[in-house]
Amino acid sequence: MPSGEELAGSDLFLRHREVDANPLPDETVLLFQKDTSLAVPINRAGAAIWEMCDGVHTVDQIVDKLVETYDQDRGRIEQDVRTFLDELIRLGLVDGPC
Amino acid sequence: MSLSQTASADSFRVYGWPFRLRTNVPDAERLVAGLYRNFHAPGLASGLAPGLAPDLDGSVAEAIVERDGDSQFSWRLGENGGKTSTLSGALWNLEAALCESIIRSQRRWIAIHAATIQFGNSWAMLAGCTQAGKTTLSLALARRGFLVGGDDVALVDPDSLTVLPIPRCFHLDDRGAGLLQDDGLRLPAAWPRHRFIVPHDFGSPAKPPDRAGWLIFMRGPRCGHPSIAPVSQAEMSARVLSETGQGPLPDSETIGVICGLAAGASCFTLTPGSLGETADAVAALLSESMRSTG
Repeated sequence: MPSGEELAGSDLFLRHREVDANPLPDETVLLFQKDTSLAVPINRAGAAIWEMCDGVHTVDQIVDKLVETYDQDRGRIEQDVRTFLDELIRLGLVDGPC
Repeated sequence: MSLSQTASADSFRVYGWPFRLRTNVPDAERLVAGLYRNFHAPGLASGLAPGLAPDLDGSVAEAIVERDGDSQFSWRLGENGGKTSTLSGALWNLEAALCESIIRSQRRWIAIHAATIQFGNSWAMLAGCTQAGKTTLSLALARRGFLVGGDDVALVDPDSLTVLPIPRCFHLDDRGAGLLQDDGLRLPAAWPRHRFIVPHDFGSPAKPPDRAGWLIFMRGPRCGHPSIAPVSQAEMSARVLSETGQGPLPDSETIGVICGLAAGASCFTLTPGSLGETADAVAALLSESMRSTG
């Protein structure tokens, strides 16, 4: 399993089909992995990344989208995206990279 | 049909679950009645709400508290039972078994491990693990004029998100009682003798609220001064989920209920400090929150 730093910019991810996403009015989301009964709260940025784990958006494209939204250094955003994706993989919430 | 309808002097019905008390101890009868005849049930429009435990086969559980010849007290509810050297020990055990039975009897309502404090037209739910301090904080808030629905567990309707505190006695130990007395709480006269005090001892609302307006998650360790911080609804949902046992609904539906609860509430984490400061901080939070929402 690759760590965030080892992910390629062209890698794709797919939301695990056994994960329910429960969106909340404050734009945070509670992910629930039905196989393991694991509940994971994610913030707005995490929710945006989660939505782009659709097998279509690459890591680079996810970073591009977040750079448009958040007024932060691209390198910092890329690092955060990779760390977050790494965590989603580790927790079995997404399949990939593919 | 009323939620707490009684069939006779020694019969009770708590959220649809019926039981009959058999005892040879007059104080036990009085104390049990004080808890289960006066609990803070919101005024559901037509008696039992859908999903509250039905009286399916007409069976009524028998709860027994008896003084034995050797000055011991025995208690029994179904297959559970035991003996203790004090009446309060027998009543605490019986009350815990009754609570468990009420929860298990529910067809749809889910049980959440949280205290319920009335403020205005809403409940503030205080969640947190056992020993987090929900009981002492609830009673410290009672000293500040808040009405306590319960200090331990509440049922939540998956459809309307109505919150029903399960009637329980306060599980207060000597240390907690001392802290509360230092904070200015006057414990009921029956406390030294029976150690069985209930929410109704501290006041009863004319109309209990239905919904939760605040979710506050208590987390340790205790600090020098209390701190309260806003928390996202998703994080609160995850925390409350950790305090929700296996219920009658599929996991996904239970999570939907808890997310719905968080979605309709202001969510905070609380790191407690001293009891008095913590209660003051929570009281101020609720008052300020009420003012800011008009």
